[in-house]
Amino acid sequence: MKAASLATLIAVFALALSPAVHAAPAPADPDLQLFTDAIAALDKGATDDAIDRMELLADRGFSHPDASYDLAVAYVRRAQSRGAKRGDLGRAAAALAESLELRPDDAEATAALGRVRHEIARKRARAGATEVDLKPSLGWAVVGLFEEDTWALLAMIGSGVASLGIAARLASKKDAVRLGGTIAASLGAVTLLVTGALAAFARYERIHYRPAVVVVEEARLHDDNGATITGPGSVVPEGASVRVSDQRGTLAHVEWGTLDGWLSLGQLRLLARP
Amino acid sequence: MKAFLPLSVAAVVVVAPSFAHAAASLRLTVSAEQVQIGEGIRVELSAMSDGDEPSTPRLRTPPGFNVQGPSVGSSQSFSLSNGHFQHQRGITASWIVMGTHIGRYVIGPAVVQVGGKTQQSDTATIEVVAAGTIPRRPRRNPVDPFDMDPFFNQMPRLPGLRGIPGMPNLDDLENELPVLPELPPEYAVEHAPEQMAFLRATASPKDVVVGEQVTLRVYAYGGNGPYDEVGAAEPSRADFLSQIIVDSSYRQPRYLMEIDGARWTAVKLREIALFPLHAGELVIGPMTMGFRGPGYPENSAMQGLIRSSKELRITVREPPIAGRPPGYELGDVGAYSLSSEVEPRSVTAGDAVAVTVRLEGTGNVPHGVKIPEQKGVDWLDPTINDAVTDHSGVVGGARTFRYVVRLDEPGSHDLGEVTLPYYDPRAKKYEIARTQLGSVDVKPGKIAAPAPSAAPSASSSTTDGPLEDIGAPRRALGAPTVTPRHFTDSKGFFGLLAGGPLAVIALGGLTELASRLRRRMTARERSLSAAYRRALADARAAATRGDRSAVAGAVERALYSALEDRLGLKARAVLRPDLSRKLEQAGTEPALAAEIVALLDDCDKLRFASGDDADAKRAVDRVANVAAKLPRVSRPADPEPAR
Repeated sequence: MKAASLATLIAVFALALSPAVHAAPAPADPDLQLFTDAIAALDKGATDDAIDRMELLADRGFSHPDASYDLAVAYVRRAQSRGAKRGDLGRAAAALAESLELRPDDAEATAALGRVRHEIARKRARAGATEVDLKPSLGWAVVGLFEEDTWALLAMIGSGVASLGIAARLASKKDAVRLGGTIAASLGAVTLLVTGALAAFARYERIHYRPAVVVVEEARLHDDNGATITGPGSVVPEGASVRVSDQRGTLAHVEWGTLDGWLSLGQLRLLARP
Repeated sequence: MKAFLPLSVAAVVVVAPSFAHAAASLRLTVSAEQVQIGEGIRVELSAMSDGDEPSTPRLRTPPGFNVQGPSVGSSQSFSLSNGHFQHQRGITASWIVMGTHIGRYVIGPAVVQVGGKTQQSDTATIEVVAAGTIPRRPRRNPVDPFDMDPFFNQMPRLPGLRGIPGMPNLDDLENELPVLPELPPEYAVEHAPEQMAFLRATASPKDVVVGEQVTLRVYAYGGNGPYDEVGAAEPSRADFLSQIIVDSSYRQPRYLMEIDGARWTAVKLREIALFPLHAGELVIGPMTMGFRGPGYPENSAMQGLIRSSKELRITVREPPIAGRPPGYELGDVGAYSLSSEVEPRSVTAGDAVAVTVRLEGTGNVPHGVKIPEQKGVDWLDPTINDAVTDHSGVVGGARTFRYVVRLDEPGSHDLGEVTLPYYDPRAKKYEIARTQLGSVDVKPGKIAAPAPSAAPSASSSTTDGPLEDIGAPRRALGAPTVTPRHFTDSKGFFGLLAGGPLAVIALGGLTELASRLRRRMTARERSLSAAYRRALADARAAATRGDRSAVAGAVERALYSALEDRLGLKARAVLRPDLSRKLEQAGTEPALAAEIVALLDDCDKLRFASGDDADAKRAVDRVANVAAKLPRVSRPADPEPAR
C-alpha cells in the first residue's frame, strides 16, 4: 500500500513538473500578431483598421519590406474608396519607397510606386496643378550614379593600383618598368582621390540625410525665417521624395532637388532604412 | 469684473476678410454698447493672418471722440490639422475711446496692413448717453479692485491725462484699494526678483506627454502703485497648440500683497492652456510687458517700465509604446467618454440613418473618432460641432460628430461601435472610449443589393486607373532585411585607402634609409679607429695564444692606426730615427714620443724571438696606454669611401 502510494505521489509530482502540463501556448510574437490582424482587416475591407494596425507596427519600430508593401496596399485601397483621406496616395508612395529602401530589388514594389506616382500626377493634372519635377543637384546626381559600396570598391582598386605603381617605380631599375609604375601610380592616385571622395559623400548622405516622402497634397517650403519660398519647385507635390537633413521641433529641413527649406514633419513620412 | 463681463460681450463683430486671397481675419470688439459721456470704453481689434504679420493698426472714430492707444500685442499660432500645417501671426490692438456728445455712433472700421495691403474690419455701434443715465453699478467686488465700469470711471489716469474730465487719478484709486483678506496661493512670491516691477511665469506640470495640457500663467507685480499693461509681447510657444484662458489683465482682479515688507499690486496677465505638439525639451519664451502708471518710469515713450518673465522649459515625452492600442493618434491625451444616438432604427436599402456621436472629456478634445467599417455600410464625412471651453483652467468639453450612414444591403445590421483610443496621463495608461451603435433594420427597397464583396471600401471605388493593377497584400513576411555592412563603415577604411600608397612610399624610404645606414656602417668599419680596435683585439688574442710574433705585428698595426687616427701622421713611412721628432712636431709630448718609439723597438724585439709572453702582454697594455694618451689633432675628415 505504502509502495503504491509512493509511486502515485512520484507519478503525480513528475506529472506536475512535466513540460506537457505546463506547456501553455507560447505567446505569439506581438508584432507578427499585429501584422496578421492587419491582413485580416484588409481582407474584410476594414482598411482603416488595417492601416491603424500597420502604423502601430511601424511605431513599435518594426520595419519589414513586406509590411511596408502591405501598408501601401491598404492606403491605395482606402484612396480608391469613398472613405479616402487626403494624402492617402502620398502615404502609399511613402510606404512603397520604404519597402524599396529595405529591399531595393523588389520589382513589384518598384512598379507599384511608379503607378502610385503616376496616379498622383494624373490627379494633380486634373486639378490644374503644374508639375515641377526637380532633379537633384549635379553633385548629388554624380554621387548617386553608383552605390556607396561601388564607389568604395573603386577607391580600393585605385589605392591598390597606386600602391603597385609606386612600388614598381621605387623598386625597379628598368626604365620601362619605372615609367609604367609612374603612370600606374598617377592613374591610381587620381582614381583613389575621386572615387574615395565620392564614397565619402555617399556615406555622408547615408548617415546625415534621411529619405522621406511628402504625404500631403502639396507642401510649401519655408525659409529659415518661416517665410514661404516662392518660385518653381517651391511647392513639393504629394508622393515626392525628399531628403531630410535636420529636424527642429515640428519642422524638418529638407532638400528637394536643388532647393532646400523647412517643412512640417506632419507633411512628411520619414522612411525606415535597413 | 463680474459686472464688467456682461457689457464686454455686448458688441462683437466678426468680419470676413476683405481680400479673400490674403487669408487674414479681423475681429473688432467693444467693451460696451452703451456708455455715458466722459466714460471710456475699450475697443479691441484682433487680426490674424496666414502670411505676413498684420501691422500698423488704426481705428476710425467719429469726430468728437477722444482716443488713446493703440496698445499692441503680437501672437502666433501653429496648428496641424489633417496633415496640414498652419501658421498664423497676428496682433491684438486695443484703444480706449471716450465719447463727448450724446448720440449713436459707429466705431471703426479698424484697419491694418497685411503684406503691403490694407485690410479693414467691420464696424461696431455704440450709444453715448448723458451722464447718470446708466444706473451705477453696485459697489465693486472687494477682491477685484480694478473692476471698473464704466471703463474710465475708475480707469487709472495715464501719464499726460491728468486733469482731463472723467480721467480719475491713480493716487486716489490706490487709496481706495482694499487690503485683501486672503491672497490666492498662485500669486504668492517670497522675494521680488527685481525692483519696482517684475513678471513671473509659471507652467505646470513640467513633465508631460505629447498632447497633455500644460497651463502657462504669467503674473505682473508692481511695487509703485497701480499700473496699466502696455506693449505686451506674448510668450512664444511655437511647439504647442494653445488655448487662451485669460487673454488680458484688464478683466482680472488685482491684489495687494506684501513682498519683503513692501506693498505690491499683483495681477494675472495671461493664462494659456498649452498642448505640446512633439516630444523634447520644449521652450516657452518670455513675456514682455510695460508697466505704465504714475509710479513707474518709462523706458521709452508710452511703453512704460518694461519687464520680462523668464523662459520656461517643459520636458515632453511620447506616451509609451507598450500597451498602445491600434488607431491611437499621438496627442489624443486626456479622459474621454463617448455616447451615441442612431435614428431611425429602420430604413429601406439605399436610405441613410443619422448617427450622432458625442465625445466628452477633459483635454484637447480630439477631432476624430474611429468609426466601424462594414460591408454595405457607407459613412459620409461628419459635421462637427465644438463646445470646448475651460473649467478652472482645465480645457475640455464636447465635440459632436454627426454622420450620415447609408445602408445598402437589406437585413439587420449591427453598426458596431465607435471608439477613441487615448492616453490617460493621470492613470498613466491607454484607454479606449467606446459607444455601441446598436442594430438597424434595413428593408429591401430602392436599390438592388450589391453582390457580396470582400472589400466593401474598394467596391465603392471612385478611382479607375493604374492603381487597379496593384496586387493583393503579401500575406507572409519574407526574408527580413539584413542590415548591410558597408565597406566605408569599416573602422579605418579611408585611412587604409590612403595608407596603401603611403605605406609603399614609406617602405621605399625605409629601404633607402637602411641602404644608407648599411653603407655608413661599412665605411665606419674601414675607419682608422676601427682598424686600431681590430688590431688591438688581434694583439690581445695573440697574447693569449702566446704568439709573440703576431702580438708584435698587431701592436704595431694598432699603434700606427692610432697615430694616423689621432695625429694624422702616417708613421709607418717615417724612419725610426726621425719618428720621435715627427711625433713631437705632430703635437705629441716628448716623453710620449719616446715611449712610442720604444714600443716599436720592443715590438721588433718581440718579433725576433726576444722576450717572453709577459713582454707580449705588456706590449698590448702599453699600446692601449699610449693610444689613450695620444692627443687628437684636428685634421680634415676622412673622405667617405667610394661606394
